[in-house]
Amino acid sequence: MKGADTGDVKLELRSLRKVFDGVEAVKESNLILKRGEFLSLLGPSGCGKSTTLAMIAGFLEPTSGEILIDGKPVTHVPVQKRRIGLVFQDYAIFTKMSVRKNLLFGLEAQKVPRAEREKTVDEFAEKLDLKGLMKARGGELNMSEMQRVALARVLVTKPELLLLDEPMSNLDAALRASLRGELKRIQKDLGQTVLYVTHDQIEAMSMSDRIAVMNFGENLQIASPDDIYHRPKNRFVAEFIGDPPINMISCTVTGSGRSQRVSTEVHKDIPFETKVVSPGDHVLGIRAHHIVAAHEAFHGSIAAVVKLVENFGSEHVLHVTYGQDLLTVMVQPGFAREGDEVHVSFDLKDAHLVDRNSGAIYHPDEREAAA
Amino acid sequence: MREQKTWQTVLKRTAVIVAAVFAFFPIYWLISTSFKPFDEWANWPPIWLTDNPTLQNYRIVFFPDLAREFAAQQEGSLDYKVSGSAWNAFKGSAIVSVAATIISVAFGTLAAYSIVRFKTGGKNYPFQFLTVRMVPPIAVVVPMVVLFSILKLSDTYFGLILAYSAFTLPFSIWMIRSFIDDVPAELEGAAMIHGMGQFRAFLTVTLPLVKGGILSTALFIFILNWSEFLFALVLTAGNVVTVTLQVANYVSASSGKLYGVQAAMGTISTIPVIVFGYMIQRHIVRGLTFGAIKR
Repeated sequence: MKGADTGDVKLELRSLRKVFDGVEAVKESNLILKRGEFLSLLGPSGCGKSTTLAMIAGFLEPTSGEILIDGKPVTHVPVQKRRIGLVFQDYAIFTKMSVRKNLLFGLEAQKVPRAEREKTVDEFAEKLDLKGLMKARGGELNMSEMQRVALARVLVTKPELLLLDEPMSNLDAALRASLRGELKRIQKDLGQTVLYVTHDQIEAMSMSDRIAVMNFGENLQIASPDDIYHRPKNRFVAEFIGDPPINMISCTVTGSGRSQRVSTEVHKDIPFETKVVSPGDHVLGIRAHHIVAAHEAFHGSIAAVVKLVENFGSEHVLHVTYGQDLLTVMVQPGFAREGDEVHVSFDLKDAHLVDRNSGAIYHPDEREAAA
Repeated sequence: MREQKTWQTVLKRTAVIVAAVFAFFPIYWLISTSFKPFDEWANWPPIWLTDNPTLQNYRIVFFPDLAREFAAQQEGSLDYKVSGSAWNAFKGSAIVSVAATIISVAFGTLAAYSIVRFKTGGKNYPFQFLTVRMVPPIAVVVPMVVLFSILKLSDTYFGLILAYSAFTLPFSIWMIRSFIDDVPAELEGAAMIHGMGQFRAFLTVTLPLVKGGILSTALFIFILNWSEFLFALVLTAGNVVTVTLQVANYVSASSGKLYGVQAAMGTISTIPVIVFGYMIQRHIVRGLTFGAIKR
């Protein structure tokens, strides 16, 4: 990796580790963030994403490993010299200062000449629609205004790298949806490199160029939103992404290589060639919208009873019996009611074969590649 | 139901009045006595408000010579054995109390900041240094006298300032710590992200937010210093005089304690405390309403 062209790489983490009282909060994290890229660290709370962010910002000293910005190591550079922007989860607005003072704060701290300061602040006030708020005190703002001020306050300093720590967790759902678009627009507009920390899969999926899914301090998969959704590398990623959650169906694998077969309650002895999986009991993962449901029996279908209907508005999600398991199936509104009998089936090409022991996932098209 | 409420109100108000009388009576008595002529100081039954108000007690405090001349013209005057005017004592108390308060609060602020932000000394440290205050001062006064005479600090302003600073520091740290604790670390983090060092972030962001708390602490420490008697008594020998020592000096050969003069001195010595308190009242009232966002 060393000596490679770093012109395109904004941030690089090399084997970054953090141990708190013997607990490994971040395990050997490796990550490359390209210039102008929007990358999300996605994971449940306590997965190490905020710790990673605090190390990049410089508030926490890593136990080992290196942080490079523009190819230069900054692991031991103090916070104020890293030229990183950070929007805190609670925004950390200076409540007794006016919004204008808040926006000027960073430029004053960096001793930018007065005329330039004022010009930059006005420019960003315009961009973030803060013109009317400039005289208000920080303490008088509501949550969404605070969020915009916090963002503007950081952006005026033209940071090399912008870190956002769950910036939308204090906002209500409707506002979040509209701000997602706005944030993405501003980021594209400025060509700003962004590292975004969130536990919200929708935020990560809708805004990111790439997503790093983390759990227990480990980077499980770094890939585009499409790949994360359609080609998860392991069971945790598959289950963390998607609403309703992916169905996990017990299955049995027999044979190996070209003669590998998978059996479930519906499908018996279907050829399902993947790279490596030992014969025995495993799991098939399949998303609700890949399952076909009909009122009448059809080829390969089995009968199932609807236990619950979840109304998603444009779709309904049925929870139906499937042998020992319950399956979620996405259908048109009004398709079935609780207690109805429906017929369901799915195509194995849409399924992920999950190794029961390691949690690793083998995709059907890896079989084709092997063939 | 309604009657019960009325009774509760009556009870509450009575309690407040009793508490207020209890608190204000000594102040009333102090001021009342300070204007009494000497033959009314210790009367029985007590004279609540004198019919013969005089400024003689105040004259003795500030102008002992003038008071002696005045007394000579009066029938049955009192033998005032007064050691110098009180100016010296006010000067001494002002120097010692102000300096010790500034030192205590300044070091207390830095120590409190360090304890809050860097967890200096570990989790139990804030409790450990408070134990210094569990020892009654009388228990340490003898070794202090020995120590001070060896260090040649006896009867010096510097010595007394040092002693007062050391003994009030735990209070300063303890009080200011709670104020700093209420300021989210993220506010300083935001300042640092924008290019400030930690100390500059503390000065520009945190300090203005805890200003009221620090001033309240300063008032509290100032009152402790201003009214301290024991250390002043044993660590000085005439060169340094404080207000509390001067009050104790007012005794006469014939009549024992000069209650009226002591009351006059006491009345005057409460004035700086009241003025200081009034000056920072705004901050005390505003108290802890920082308005910062918390989780």
